[in-house]
Amino acid sequence: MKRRSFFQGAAVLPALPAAAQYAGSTGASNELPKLTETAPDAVGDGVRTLFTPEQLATLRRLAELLVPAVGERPGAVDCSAVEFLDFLLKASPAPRQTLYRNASTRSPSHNWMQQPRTPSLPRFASHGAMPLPPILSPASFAKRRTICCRPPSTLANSRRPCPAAAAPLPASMPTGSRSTEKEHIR
Amino acid sequence: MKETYDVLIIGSGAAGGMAGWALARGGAKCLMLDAGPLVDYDRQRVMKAVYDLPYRGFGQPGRFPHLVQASEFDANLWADEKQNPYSYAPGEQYNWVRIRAIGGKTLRWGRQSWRLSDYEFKCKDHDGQGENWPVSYSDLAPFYDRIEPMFKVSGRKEGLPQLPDGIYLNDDSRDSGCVQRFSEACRKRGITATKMRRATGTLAASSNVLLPEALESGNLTLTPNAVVREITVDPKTGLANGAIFLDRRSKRVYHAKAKIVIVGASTLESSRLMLNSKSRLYPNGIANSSGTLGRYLFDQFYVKGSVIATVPEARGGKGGRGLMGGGGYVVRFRNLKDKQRDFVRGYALDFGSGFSPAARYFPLYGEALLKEMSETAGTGFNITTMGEALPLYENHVRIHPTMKDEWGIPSLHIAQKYTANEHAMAKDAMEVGAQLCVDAGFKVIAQHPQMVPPGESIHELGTCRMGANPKTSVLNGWNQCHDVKNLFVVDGSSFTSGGVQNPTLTILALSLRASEYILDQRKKGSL
Repeated sequence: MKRRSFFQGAAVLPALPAAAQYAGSTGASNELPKLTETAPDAVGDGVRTLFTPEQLATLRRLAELLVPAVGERPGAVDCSAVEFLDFLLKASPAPRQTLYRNASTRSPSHNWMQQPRTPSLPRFASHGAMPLPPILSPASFAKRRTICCRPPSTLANSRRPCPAAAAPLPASMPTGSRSTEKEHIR
Repeated sequence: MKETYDVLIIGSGAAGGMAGWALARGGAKCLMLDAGPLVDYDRQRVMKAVYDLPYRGFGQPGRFPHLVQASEFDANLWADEKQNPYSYAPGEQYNWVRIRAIGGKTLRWGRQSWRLSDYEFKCKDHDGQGENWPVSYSDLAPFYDRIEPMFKVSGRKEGLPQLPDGIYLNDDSRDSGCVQRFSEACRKRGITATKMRRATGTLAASSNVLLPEALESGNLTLTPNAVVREITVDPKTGLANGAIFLDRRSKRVYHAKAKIVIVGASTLESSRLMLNSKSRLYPNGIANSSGTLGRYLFDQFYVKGSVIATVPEARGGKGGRGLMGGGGYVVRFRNLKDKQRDFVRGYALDFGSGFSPAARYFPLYGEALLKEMSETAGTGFNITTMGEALPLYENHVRIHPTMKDEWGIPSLHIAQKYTANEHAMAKDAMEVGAQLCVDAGFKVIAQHPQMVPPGESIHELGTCRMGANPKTSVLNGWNQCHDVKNLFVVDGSSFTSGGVQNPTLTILALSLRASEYILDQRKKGSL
């Protein structure tokens, strides 16, 4: 018997099972109800797992400076970017953790082109209004092995090697990052 | 005893898929083994929102340390680097990108379909560097002619000797304003910018263009989840007689038997399999009397974002479709008639427009950065450099002494470095690209000559190269092993040189040509 004709036959049976009668009386089908759910991010704050409170404060201040809230647009701090970084890096390989840990223990007046100095954290987090040294050039290919520190124009014309070019990141570091440029397999 | 097949095909991507298509339809009983599953996309594909992904789209950290293409959205597609490890020397990172599934990397290829020319096939005749292929453009042209319509390649004919025209769906679509300006800037300097030559259609993969017709013939048996460990040899004849494989999930070991074996497992996997196929007759790996199996590894070096520019007239949302959008391809122009001082061979540029430059391109932060990013949204123009890497004996793969994959199969150690020739080319490409942008009236906001690590272009080639001389090559001009007459290698590992053209179309042509040679030889009774 074909499926369709079976159901046609069933429809004219005089007595329906009790459950079907209930379903008919409430107007509901046999589908399960859809329950509204809420993601964990919306109901709880991420608990710190990697950074020290001082480092978190530094990162929060940096996040505020880099991506502030403008008008109705939320900033990085509103989006809990720092707490997410703490979670993501906790799950990351050690070299990447070290990179972020070292960077987040530098003082606000730190010269990023020189060797790391003794950390002085709380000062950075509390120095709200202190001007930062200007960023010299876009870190246009930072996601590769080097961060360039001179403007592209001088880089192109200069014979001297870029000072940062000699400092490769560890080989095991993931090089991937989200990018707005097209990147696909060819 | 199970059936002895006429042909065993290892791999189901461009190379294996095309061999299966040609041989099964030609009447040979074929068995195709692939290490990955047969994925039913219609049933298994699920669209998820970012907040439904545990790492919000960034992916589980450390799972794919070498695979920039993998995201959390498609992580299941890529070969897991923990299950499939490989090694390289410290400081010589190699990014090996793999897909293990029926269809192979054609499931995600960029579909760029360019022909090689005699500038590649006969490169040594042209500039004295490297080695000629044992085939010429005229040998492959009839096969290109048949494959382009199968993959519905669109493009525009240019009549250039270094980039032969094919049989295209003619692309005469109007270019956007910025692409027109850039193409004109190229023309004024005697350089050709053309339309992309791209396979069209929703997927254009082996699994929907080649395998359905092959299966329809009734002559192809397709077995997924079969991880091949080694090619087996008849000790009496020295010929290949099948392969040992493991079930991917249960790891149970099987032996499949065949009269002819075709390897199309992808460039490095094919060489790994052959190097792992050791026997009394072939102590250094099957078909390796020359010692060149695993040698002459190369690819095409990529500089992603060589030049990033913005189109000033498009600022503040004034771009629109008339001015921004679309892209194209700058055909190789170096070292054809002229001769550069500091490098041999050449490069091509791939350009695109209409994206929004990322924050890292602006020397700003905070509100000023957000304002500039908003102003420049949709104004971006970028150039990717694709350059020829010379095949060198030193660049090679070998079997790792201790490292093994999940199935106990010895892993590869990969050693490839770019040389001064490639670096000089990358620098030249950056300077030329930036100059062309300036000529077109764009504002260059960043430029750099640093290529991505070898392998990342996913154009790995060589290691089982063709050649006229059996002492310096593994395969003859029919992709047939010099040492083992019934063993063929039909994928990118067979390339003698690679040019700058994306290799898939040539892999398809070589595989089709080798497969029809096999059919012909079977008819004559010599295989």
